[in-house]
Amino acid sequence: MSRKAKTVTVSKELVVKDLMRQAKALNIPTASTEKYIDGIAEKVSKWAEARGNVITESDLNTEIAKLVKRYNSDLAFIYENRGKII
Amino acid sequence: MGKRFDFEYIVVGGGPAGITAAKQLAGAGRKVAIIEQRKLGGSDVCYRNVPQKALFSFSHLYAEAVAGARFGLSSTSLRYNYPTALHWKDRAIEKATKNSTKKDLEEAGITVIKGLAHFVGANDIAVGGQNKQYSASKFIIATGATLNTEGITGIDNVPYYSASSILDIERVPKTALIIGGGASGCEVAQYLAELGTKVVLVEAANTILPKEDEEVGRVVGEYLEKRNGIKIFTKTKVVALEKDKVSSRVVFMRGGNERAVRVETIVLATGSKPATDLGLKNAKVSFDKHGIVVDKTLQTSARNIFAAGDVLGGPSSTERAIYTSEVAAMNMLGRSKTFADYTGFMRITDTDPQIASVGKTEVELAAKKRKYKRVLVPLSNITASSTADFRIGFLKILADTQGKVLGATMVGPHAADVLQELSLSVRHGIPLVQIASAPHPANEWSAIVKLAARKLLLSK
Repeated sequence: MSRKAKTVTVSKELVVKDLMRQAKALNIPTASTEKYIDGIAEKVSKWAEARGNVITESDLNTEIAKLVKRYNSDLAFIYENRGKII
Repeated sequence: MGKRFDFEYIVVGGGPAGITAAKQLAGAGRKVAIIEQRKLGGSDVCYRNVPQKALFSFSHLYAEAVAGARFGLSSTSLRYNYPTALHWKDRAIEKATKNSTKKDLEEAGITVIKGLAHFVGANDIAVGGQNKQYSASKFIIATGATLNTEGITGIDNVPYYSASSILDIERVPKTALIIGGGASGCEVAQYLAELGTKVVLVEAANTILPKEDEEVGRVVGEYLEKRNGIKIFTKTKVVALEKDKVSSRVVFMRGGNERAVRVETIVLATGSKPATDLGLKNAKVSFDKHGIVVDKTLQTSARNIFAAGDVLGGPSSTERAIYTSEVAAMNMLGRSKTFADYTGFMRITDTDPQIASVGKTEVELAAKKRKYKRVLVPLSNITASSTADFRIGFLKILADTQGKVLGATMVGPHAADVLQELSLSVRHGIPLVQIASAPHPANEWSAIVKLAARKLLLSK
């Protein structure tokens, strides 16, 4: 019998909060991140909504990483390897 | 006690691959559902090949009539009605999808589910828009491919069309820049140019149509420039799209210099990437940027999940999608162990002249250091060229030293139809000597095949 992956609730506000927190941890100047984080969070929440908000944490991290990569590769790396870094 | 699933099979994707697989599985008496987010029929039928062929027929006919003075045609008052052409395109799509409607599939015993599918487990799939989840014993993934927009800055802020969506544009633009000089880019560039648009075609490689051998890009490029007035910039990489109050701007690097050009319409023909954004990790299905990873039976890394069509990567075509779905469905039903064999599938570019290729190119043979013989025969050598007044194309055949056809390329009218016998030869090993000795109508385009085959056999 298969195991269903655990799903998470996605909201734009939570995504913005998480991205800002990660950016701060990496010492990325907030002035530059604010410009694109809002846009990314908007896209992520639309992406999740299109999937009925039945999204796993891994799916969410992959999608955020893909969108962030255009702006900051270090921040994208964090999301690509979430759960893998000790 | 085994788990009860909602369905025995769920097919993800309602394009040619998905519908073929669903019908085959339902025909075997299985309980099947198909999930499709957009229109049933898929990209090829609804947004790409069928609408393209319909509209290109219109534009090529118009262009031929405009240039028809040598046949006695007078075109000074010739015009076209663009809304009528769009209506013709919609009718063509309607006819092509008449056996793929929801009603047809339900009559075949297939449950049709509308929404965006997302795996949440190896046997469970969520459907967006419906907020429901379904379970199945087995799945076929046939989600196709989407436009690849990576590597271009500013793409989120500047309006652009794809090679598919440009076919729905409300009015013909005055200027257009096509990014990507592959098959789709050349097709769209010529289509717009034939309708009167000033077109610039930009390609990063040394030549347009870089996946074909060099002479194809050279011959077709000269024709597009001379006949259609298209400006072609090769060795040119688009780096950014910008928009100001006046218009859109495309910034590109050429010869080490950065340049920009203002255009009314931008079309991205930058290739496609497999549509793998459906929670495949949750189902333990391996994939990479080239597509879903499958073995020769089209089984994925998850034993109960197979894949078919454009999501596998590789050249995109309706017949390839249908073929892979038939192979996958047969293997899933356990009736046979069939390996997918892509030998003999054609690559077609619907420009005028048409380009068709089958088998290996010279570049591929040279890379593998394989010995081969080659003949390239200009179309001007046959009668059809004179009667139709078309002289620039050619047929090239590559064969091994035993006379086995390894590959062929034709640039010319009805190239795909003419090349069909060489496709048969490549797939089933029909030797060149049989092709050379078979009767071919002397005044038709297929006469070039016999001529080229004979020349190759007589060559040293």
